[in-house]
Amino acid sequence: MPAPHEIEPRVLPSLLVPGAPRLYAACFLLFAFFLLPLVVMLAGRSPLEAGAALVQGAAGNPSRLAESLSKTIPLVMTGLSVALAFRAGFFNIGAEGQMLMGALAGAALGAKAQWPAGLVLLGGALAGAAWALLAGVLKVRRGAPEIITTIMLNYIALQLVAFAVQGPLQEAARTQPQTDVLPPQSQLPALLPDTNLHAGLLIVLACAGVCWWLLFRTERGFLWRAAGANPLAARGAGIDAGRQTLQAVALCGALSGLGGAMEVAGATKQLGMGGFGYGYTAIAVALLGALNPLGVLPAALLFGMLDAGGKAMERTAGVPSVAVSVVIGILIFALAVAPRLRRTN
Amino acid sequence: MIPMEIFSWRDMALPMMLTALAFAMPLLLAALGELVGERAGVLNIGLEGMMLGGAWAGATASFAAGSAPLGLLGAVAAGMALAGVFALLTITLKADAVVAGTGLNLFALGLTGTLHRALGERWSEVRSATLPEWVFALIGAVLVPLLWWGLKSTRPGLQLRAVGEYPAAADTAGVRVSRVRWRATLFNGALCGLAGAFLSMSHTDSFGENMTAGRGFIALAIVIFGRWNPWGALGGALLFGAAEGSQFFLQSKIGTTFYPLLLALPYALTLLVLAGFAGRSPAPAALGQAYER
Repeated sequence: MPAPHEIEPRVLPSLLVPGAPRLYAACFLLFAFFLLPLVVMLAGRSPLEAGAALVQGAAGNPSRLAESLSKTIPLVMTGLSVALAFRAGFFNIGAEGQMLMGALAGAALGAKAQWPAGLVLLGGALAGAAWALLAGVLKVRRGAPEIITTIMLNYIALQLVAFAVQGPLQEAARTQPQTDVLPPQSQLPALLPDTNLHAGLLIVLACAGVCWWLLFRTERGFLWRAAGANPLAARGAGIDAGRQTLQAVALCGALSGLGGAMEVAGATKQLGMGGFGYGYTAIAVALLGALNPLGVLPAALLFGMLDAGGKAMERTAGVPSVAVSVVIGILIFALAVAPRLRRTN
Repeated sequence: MIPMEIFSWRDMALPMMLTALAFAMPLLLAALGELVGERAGVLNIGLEGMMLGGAWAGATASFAAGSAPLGLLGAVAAGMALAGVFALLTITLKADAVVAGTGLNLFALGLTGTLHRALGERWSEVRSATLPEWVFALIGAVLVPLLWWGLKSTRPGLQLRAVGEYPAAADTAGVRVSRVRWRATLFNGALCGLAGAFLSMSHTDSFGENMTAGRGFIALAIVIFGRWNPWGALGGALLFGAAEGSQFFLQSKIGTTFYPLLLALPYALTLLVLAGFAGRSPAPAALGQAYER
């Protein structure tokens, strides 16, 4: 069996992971940020005004910074989910759906059953894991490409949420398509009063640490990476690649699902219609974090600030927040052409 | 007993079939484009983005020029431009196809959404010059047999398939692998642009943010379901078109509470189809792999 360092599948540039070509990654980031003003000008707005609104909205005062951090929480969870899955050879575009199912389970256990917060989070993680395993089993047993199945599961999850908040889980008043507010015992405590920043921040730090340890310091993580780097070689070495993939997929679903439950129990405190969008940004987070759980943390913070700043930019400067997607897309392009990010199949 | 008049030809069956056909059109066009690309070994999961580009450009160009054919041209050009970005990244710069395709979808979503809102403010209301749906149906009806014959029995078709199955051998035989893949990718972009134009210039008369709603991914599944054959793609598109179209007819019967479950139907069908067909499918051998000499 090869030594762990020999099967490092894809080394990505990252700003913060030691040893990676930092300058290269920094150039791409700068490039992406210089592009945002261009998009703003296309939208017929003043780039200076929009830029000021973006920075102000992301980190202008403590409460804005808390908002950025609260957006970082779900991005870490989904970013970890995508990074872990990539490492195990599973292109998880379904973090969004897994997160929605986790949020749905969390809302059901919290707003409806009024269970304590710990069980709400556990239920969310299990729901996310089950949703991801659907795609995992379809890939391993039936050869269905996860690129398509995970996206389909995202859309189905979106409709299930829409059904639930207009049907069985709708608020007692039955006016808006949303659940009741979670009772206090089901909520995650706030870290800062009057902000959306909640105790989930500590959970995501722990999750990132555990994921890093699992992936790089345990035999299990080694087997996952081996199965992801080269399934054929892994099979030759006596590793059941399908089994490893399924384990990793279950964990990545649980991470996204937990992220969804935390969003409901900590930030929004109720579930409404519509998707989160974090699951798609997570792909950029994972790539920018060099598919390393510890790299995901700063990458998620960056995108969390972009998200909070983007919303503020929309409110004050009139630039649609969807403009941020342009920057994320270009960032993914840049990371895709980075040296040594090649498919190994 | 179900009263027979519900199933009368004129009131139910014919409109249902026409609706299915209309919903099948964008799926068919995008699937045919992707099919050609994939037979050349190019896996482009950015269909959604290219369709959005076509939908926005079609609506905007037809409104600005006041002419539907010019709008159509704009849609094709936008689809090809986005496809060109993808080809540059994956064929020329050898980037990972799945990562680049994901980037393309986000990029196009953001760009079309931003431009749409910016122009909406300037021109108040952008209404497309529309084309009747049969125009797109005609394009599809011509393309299916043409592509089937072209891929099977012509020299460029053979070269394209060789590039998708065994690029090294094709290269040795004097086929320019990168050029063939570039052309196939641009063709894919053109058809996705048309598919988007159908949505914004025929099915409706305006662009909406993210109006493709996953159709690009359903088209990807249709290529697999149709076993990389244009006739199979036609069958798959009609099946999914029927699933989408049935929503309109069942909506009144099922009530608003359960309506979201009905909306999930085409996506669930995609999962079932992939579970049944993906494993046994004859995918091109070099699909999604960058070619380096």
